[in-house]
Amino acid sequence: MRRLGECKLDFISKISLILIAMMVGSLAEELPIKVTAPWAKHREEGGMVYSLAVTTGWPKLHAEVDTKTGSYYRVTWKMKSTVGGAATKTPFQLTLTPDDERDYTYGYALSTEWETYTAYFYTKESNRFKFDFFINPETELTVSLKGIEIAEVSSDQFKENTLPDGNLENGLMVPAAWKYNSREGKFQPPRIVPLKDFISGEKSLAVQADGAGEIASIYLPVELGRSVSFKFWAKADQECQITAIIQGYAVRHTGSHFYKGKKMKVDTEWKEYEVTTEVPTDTEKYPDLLYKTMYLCLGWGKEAKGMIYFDDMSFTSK
Amino acid sequence: MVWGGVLCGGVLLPGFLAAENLFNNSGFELGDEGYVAVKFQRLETNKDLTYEPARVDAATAVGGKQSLFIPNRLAEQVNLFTHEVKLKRGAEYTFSIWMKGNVDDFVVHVTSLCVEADNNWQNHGAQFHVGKEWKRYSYTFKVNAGTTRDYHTFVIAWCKQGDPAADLWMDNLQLEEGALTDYKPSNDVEALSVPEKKYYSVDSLDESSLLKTAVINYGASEVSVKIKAVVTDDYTGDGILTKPYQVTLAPGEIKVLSEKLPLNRYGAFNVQTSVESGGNTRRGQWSDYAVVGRIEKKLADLSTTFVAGINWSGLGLTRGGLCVGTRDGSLIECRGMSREEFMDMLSQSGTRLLRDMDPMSVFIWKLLQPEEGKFDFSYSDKLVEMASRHGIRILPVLQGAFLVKKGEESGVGYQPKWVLDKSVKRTDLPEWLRTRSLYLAPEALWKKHFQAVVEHFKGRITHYEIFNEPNLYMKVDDYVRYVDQARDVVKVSDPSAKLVGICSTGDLGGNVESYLIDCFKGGIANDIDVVSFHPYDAPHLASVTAADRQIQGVRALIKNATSQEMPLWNTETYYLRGNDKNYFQTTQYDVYHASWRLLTDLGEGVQQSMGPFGDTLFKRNLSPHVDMMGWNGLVPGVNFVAYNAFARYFDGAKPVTKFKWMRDVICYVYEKDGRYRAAFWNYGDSKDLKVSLKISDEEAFLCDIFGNKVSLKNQPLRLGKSPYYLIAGAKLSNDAFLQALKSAAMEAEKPIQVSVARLMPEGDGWVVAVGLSNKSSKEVKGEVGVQGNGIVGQKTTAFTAEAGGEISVKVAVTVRDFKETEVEATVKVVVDRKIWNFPVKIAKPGAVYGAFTKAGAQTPLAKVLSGSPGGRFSAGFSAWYDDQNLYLEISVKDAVSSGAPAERNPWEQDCIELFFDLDPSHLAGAHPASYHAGVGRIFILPRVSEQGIKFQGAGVNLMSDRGIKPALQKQANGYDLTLAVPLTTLNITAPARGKTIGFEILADNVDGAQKAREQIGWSSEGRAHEDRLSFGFITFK
Repeated sequence: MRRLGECKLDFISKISLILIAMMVGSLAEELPIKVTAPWAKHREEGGMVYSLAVTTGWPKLHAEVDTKTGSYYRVTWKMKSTVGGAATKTPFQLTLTPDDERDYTYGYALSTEWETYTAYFYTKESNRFKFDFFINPETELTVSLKGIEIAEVSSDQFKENTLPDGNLENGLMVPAAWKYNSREGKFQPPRIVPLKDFISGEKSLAVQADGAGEIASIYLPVELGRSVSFKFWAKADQECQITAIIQGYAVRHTGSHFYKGKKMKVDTEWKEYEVTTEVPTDTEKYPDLLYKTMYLCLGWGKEAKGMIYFDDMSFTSK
Repeated sequence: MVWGGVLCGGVLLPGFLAAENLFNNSGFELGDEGYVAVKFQRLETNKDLTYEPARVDAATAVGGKQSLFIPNRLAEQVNLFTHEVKLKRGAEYTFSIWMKGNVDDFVVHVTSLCVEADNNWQNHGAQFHVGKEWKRYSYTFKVNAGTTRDYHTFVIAWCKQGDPAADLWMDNLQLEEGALTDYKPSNDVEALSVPEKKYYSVDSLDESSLLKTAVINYGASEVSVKIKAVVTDDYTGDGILTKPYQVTLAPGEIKVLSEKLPLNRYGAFNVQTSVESGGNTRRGQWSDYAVVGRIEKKLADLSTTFVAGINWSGLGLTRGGLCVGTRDGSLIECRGMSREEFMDMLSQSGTRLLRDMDPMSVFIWKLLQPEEGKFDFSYSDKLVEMASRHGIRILPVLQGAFLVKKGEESGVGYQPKWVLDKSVKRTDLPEWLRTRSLYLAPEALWKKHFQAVVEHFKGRITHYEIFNEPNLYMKVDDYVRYVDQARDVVKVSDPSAKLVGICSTGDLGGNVESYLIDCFKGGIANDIDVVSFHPYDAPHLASVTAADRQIQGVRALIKNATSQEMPLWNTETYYLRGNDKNYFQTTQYDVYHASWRLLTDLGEGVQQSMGPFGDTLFKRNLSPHVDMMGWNGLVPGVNFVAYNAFARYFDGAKPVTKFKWMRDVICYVYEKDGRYRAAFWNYGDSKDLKVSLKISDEEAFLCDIFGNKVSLKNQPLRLGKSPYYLIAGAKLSNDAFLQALKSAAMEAEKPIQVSVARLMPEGDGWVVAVGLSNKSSKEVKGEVGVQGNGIVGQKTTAFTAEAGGEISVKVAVTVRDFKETEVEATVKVVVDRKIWNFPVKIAKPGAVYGAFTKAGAQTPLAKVLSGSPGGRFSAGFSAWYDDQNLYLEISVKDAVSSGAPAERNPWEQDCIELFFDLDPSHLAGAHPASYHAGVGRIFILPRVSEQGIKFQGAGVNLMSDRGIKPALQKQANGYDLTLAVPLTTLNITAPARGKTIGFEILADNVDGAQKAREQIGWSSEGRAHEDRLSFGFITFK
């Protein structure tokens, strides 16, 4: 197994690396992927590309790495599909299996453009993780991945925005950090739309309010006892009420979970909103906290009509 | 603000024939409203200036019961103006009128008048021979299809000089589209409401008058109609009075209905009457009136008492009437009233000082001394005597040097030929005066002339202004000599009389300050008692050169030059609003502009102020949409009422202090009769400013610009452009009054305002620089973003603006596509989680030159500026840099030298002009295009070795200090220049990479010893000398 942080460098470079690692976690390294048919790989300019023509079954793209206990990590990869915004809610899955623990799965929507995807996790007591990328065989499509990397993340970095692509400018079609969570009626994923009336940039996140619904972010790292802030700007075609939640429901829900939500009125003008809370430390009361990740929810009721837009979204810790 | 609603002649209603009569009250059955008779009088034939107005005459008529009669016993030129009518472009109309006179055969001219946007006139007319019998006269004309204006008035004129005295009756005017038809009035039922007077001068707002509404049924059967008379405030648009009537009239019947007209508000008002019949409503002829506070008539001591003054021809001198006047005429215009009545009315505007000047003065040499040795003071006596009785001082402007139009050297102008024959003629005038010559009267002759005037008016005229705006055409030495002569005269003939000079103007490109300085150097301080100026280049506080700053500068200049505080007079400022491409529009201004100027002059210690042209105190009551004041009656307008209020509250006041509550909001404090009073207003563009004062109605009186009370209970007060006047009451001490003003609390809905946004290169990308100002009294923190057509903001930029402060902020943007010369964009300011959007226009940036180091240059150095390649005059430049300097290499193809300088300005010779803007993102201030301290110019004169380089502007001070000199290499067909400019003088610390400066280069070419030149430039299209935002950029790559 490849151990992170080991590389043949001279003394000075190593010191520099260590210093950098101390400040920003570690440098990202490629995840050691094991390719098993029907997954295939080929080399393109910029690196290896892994592809799967989906038919039946759940063939997996697998990797294993040693990790430090009690640490945060981030896996990123680029992915695209021949069919985007597919029929199911989260067709693409990443299952993480900590050593000596039950696995858990993150879900992602697909895009027909290369988008950057992110997964955060906390190792707890495990010093080894397995990763399995696979896709629900609902729709015939070909999915491709490249640039699959892993990096340790220092909790100092939580002061910066851990929500990827918070200003939505890097997304092309699908907001890679957000997915549909629940909804009445027909499934419509959150989309990135061209919109130039925000303070900056030319894209925003848009959801269709047609019946009650909710979108959720990827899991984001938190430190217990620390204050966190979920900020975003929003406007809507028609005035409506939304709910913003910092959701502590863990990926493996084990008992009571902590959450902090706030109802907000959104109107036709862009306004900034914020939910803040202190992450509790009582893991006995809230065992889900042991996973040290939370996700964000934005929901709306059935009375909401038209489109709701979001931009400049951030999740930070003090 | 609304001006009396739509005031056109009428509305075409469904069911009406297309050929309706566009004239209201065309048969004069309802009186003479809608028409005014203007007469042009001569003292020789009418020494009392008796004015016999037009009136209805029931003794004779063509149709109905009466006609309009205009007596003219004294053979005076007459112009009878109608109200305006709206005509269709390219359409044919027929004008008809019934007329008769009291003599057998005299000529009457009729013409339509329309003033185009370029000030040219469109007119269509005819002449008729009128006799003693009623006869109908008509003519058909076609409105120009390409006209730019749609409103026309008509004038009926007769009695040229030499024509017999002829009274005229007229009836049944008609103007219809198409061919002539039988006469019909504009409507079967017509109504007209008229107040008893054109203006009311009241002691209090408890008085009242009557509004009389006359209604006539022209039809053949009985009618029952609804009439409505509506009185509207011209300034606010508020309805003052609405009186409906239900009237039944027999055929041909006239009824007159009266309604009480409360005079409970100062202002100018319009009365519109409408008739509703058969479901249709038609508006007819309107009328107007004004309400002002009574002014006591009292002559002021101009050396101690500040009064409201105007410029005008006090006696109404003109060249005569339309169609019947003459080029050398000097006649007294009476617009619907006698000059006596006019002067009485003018006194009630609060005017107590009249500078007798335009369009024609009674003090012109031609009237005062028509022949050598013969003086005639009849006109000037008449004016001075009449004005004095009404409490108005006259300031004459005496002239000894004359600008004479080519072709008027025979004396057809204002100067008699015998004086011109003796004068010295000068033709070396500025280019814009090329159609004139300057005649300088012999000084001895001028002295005698002036002496006769002073001796004659001793004790009656206290001040004389010597010449008008000499800085535009006279050499300083010449002017000083004339003033010197004038001083000799008053010393002997009237030692109490004061001389007002230098009359330096900022109009027409004149420089107020430099002429003053030169005149003082010439010793004029010993000769004048008062310094006069015309602040056209700084008319108000929001001007590029703020009015107060100019006044302070001029006063300091006087003190430096003379070691004394000489009184300063503003003797003329017609263009109070600023410039407009249309000359007539330039003379118009909003009501607050005149008050601003008076209040600012008074507040800054100017001794007297007489800025506006007096005609602007009156409204265009007959033809509000026609660009001509004189084709109307004399009815006081909003400016008249504002002047009146100023006079009542501030005549005789003295300045105490001033506060700038925030940028663009001023509060002046004055003292009058021992009590303090203040005037405050917002002269900027923010519409959301408010102020709260800790003062109650019991302690002080607050009113608007007209003197109408405003309750202090209604705070905060919205701050607009119209000043408030606050008068301390007996219960409030002056100190407490001052303290309350000092502690005024300001509010702004949007504390941050955006002035301008500029797209400019920075590093390898682009930024939009945004000028922000903090309107509030607290520090404001926020963020700025920019979005626009073809421009995408990459991210926002944080800012902190101190209270009342101004800053520039740069926002990184991506430029996708910039095809137009200007795009719409929005500056988004985020404060306290709110976004305020400010629409702006972003101009395509000027030319951009990427300067590389010699080593880093990716392409050969580029020549980027040229005239026609291979032509006789072209230029190019390139730039590169190192750690020390920016290097400019300039190459000019120009084989013919401009020779020795010979008193020419640098740009009037072969010259390279370099412009530097050390901080192109600096956009703070009310006028960001103006040069700031970091902008400068270098003039390089390649043909002149001793004066080879000149520096101008604070921005290049360091360059001149370091002795920057261009290296010149003469070529066979031109010259090359290289220049090393230290980076430190450009405020750049190495490394320079990524930095940007504003830059422009112009090449001037003059062949030989003339001034006319050609110029090629890189970016600014000729605007670099006045607009730093037109510069291009050099980016350091």
